[in-house]
Amino acid sequence: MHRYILKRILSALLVLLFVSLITFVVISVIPGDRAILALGIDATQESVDAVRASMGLDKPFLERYFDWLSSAIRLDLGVSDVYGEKVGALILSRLPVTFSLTLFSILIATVLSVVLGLICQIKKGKLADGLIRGSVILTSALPSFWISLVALIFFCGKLKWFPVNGYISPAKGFFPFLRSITLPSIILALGELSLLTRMFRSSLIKSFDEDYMIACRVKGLGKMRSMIHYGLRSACIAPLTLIGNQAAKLLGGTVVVETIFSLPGIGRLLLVAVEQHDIPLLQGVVLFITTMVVLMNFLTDIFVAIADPLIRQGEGSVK
Amino acid sequence: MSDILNLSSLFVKDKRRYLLRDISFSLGEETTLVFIGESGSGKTMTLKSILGILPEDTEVEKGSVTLMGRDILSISEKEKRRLLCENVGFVPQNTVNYLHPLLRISDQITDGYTTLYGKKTLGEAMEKATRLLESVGITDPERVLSSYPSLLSGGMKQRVNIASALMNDPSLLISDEPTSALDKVVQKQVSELYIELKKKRRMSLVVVSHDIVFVKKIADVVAVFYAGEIVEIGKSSEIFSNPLHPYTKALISLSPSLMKDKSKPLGEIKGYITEEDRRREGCPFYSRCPERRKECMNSVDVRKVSETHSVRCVL
Repeated sequence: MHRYILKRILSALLVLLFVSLITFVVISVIPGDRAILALGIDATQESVDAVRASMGLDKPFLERYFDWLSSAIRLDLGVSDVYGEKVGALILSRLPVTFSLTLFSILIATVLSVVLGLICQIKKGKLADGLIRGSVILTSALPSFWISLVALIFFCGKLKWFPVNGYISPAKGFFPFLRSITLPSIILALGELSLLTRMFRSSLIKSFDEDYMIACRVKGLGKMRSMIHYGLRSACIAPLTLIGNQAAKLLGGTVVVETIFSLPGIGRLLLVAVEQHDIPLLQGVVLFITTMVVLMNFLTDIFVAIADPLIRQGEGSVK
Repeated sequence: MSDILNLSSLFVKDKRRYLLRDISFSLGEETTLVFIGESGSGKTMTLKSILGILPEDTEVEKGSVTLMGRDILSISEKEKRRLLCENVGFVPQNTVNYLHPLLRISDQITDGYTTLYGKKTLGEAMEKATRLLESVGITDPERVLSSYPSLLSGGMKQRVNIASALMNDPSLLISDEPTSALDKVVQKQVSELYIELKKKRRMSLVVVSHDIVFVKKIADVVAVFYAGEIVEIGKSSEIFSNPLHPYTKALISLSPSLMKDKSKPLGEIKGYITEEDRRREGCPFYSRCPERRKECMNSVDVRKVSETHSVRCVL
């Protein structure tokens, strides 16, 4: 297992290095000079050159990349042009929102898809199976901005179950925080539900068809024990990988929902960076998101290895 | 002597046809019954009916299966589980996933025992599993118990399956071709293990086998299956010394291991069981039978030759 983790860490670091280079190249070739953006188009050439030099833009490309990389490794991502604050601090301040959104929506999506998948498995080929499969595809196909607006009008406006907008930090009370985050989490979860439910359904159907389920019946094991201990056990490995990927996606990609619900998360920060052409902020946020994706994949690999002894042994027994 | 198992006029069908027709036999204590017959003749389906694990699209049309004096077709799912847990052990064909690939052997071998006697008996169950694994010829039971199935060879897995089936000291051990997916050497070892089990343990056995030599050694009673029917059933000595049904005769005379003159080419029963054979009113072996007659086209009743020997043939 140690060797397995070490190998995963090394490959994750390599991926990160490569991704950081791509990020830097792509953002560098975006048209628009940062110095002119800072000074306005009426600035004289001398002052533009001076600002360029102070920003380090006059140095060759590779040197700029290594400067940026070495400070990024020291967790210094530079200063945002728009906010005038450290990019790292900005990201950190937005993290709780994005983190809790991701966590809650993945939790909701997982629990729902396990339950729905189980119902589908039990009622395979019957009406309930079809209805569930149809409706999860429908909910995932509806654009999130539309569902967000409808939910906002109905649950927040009419029923007043949730606050209309804004994020309440857990420091101001756990329940107000939960209320502020529930509706957007559910909407994000709906988007992930279709894939996950279908994955759980097919894994469950396959697993419940295996001979070890017959072994359970012949041995006279209780229904719950055979379902959970035997049936679910192998059915959860494929969805586990998917859950990891979806969590990674959500950590960097909740722009629409964050915007509609006025939640100050990473997605909104990314939007500002793009709109305002804030290069250090953009680089910082993109690097952060890719790091999260790599990290989530790494964690997923570890979880899968914990759930599946064959992977652990596969690593250990090659001698 | 009371019956461990009794099947009476059992008919099982799927959507298109009958898979089992009029299966009847009873099995006393400490008796070994072996099913022989070619693939698709209903041997495994009969075992599945006894264990209540028929595939989804099949159903019992009529008849009864009485296990330890209880009709398993009419009791609840829960009662059936309890009945099987207490009285029956099952050894499958050595399929890939009969043992769960992600659970340790110790987990899988003990859970039938702990289901019957409660979770607190796990320690006892582990001790018993160790003893049983040793008795089925595993030299390092501790290592096997802590392993996952993927680390065990086919023969080891089958020994684990046998030990697992014996955990609750069943009155009836049911085995579906326990040696068929193993290589020759292991096949021999497992066959010997069965003969030893039969001698040492006070239980009845129902075994499906294609290995005629093994059948001769182990069987008290032999049932010959053809196209979903039992065409002949009797004491092992009766079947082997005085086979009456043309199919039984062919099956025994064509067994390579029983052939006296090994220089002769191996014979065969021409053809195969067709869908038409399964649907026919009369004898299902009609189209392949060397001794067929006109009256075989009509429905054929079981004829009792002796108290223990009966045959479904007009001859």
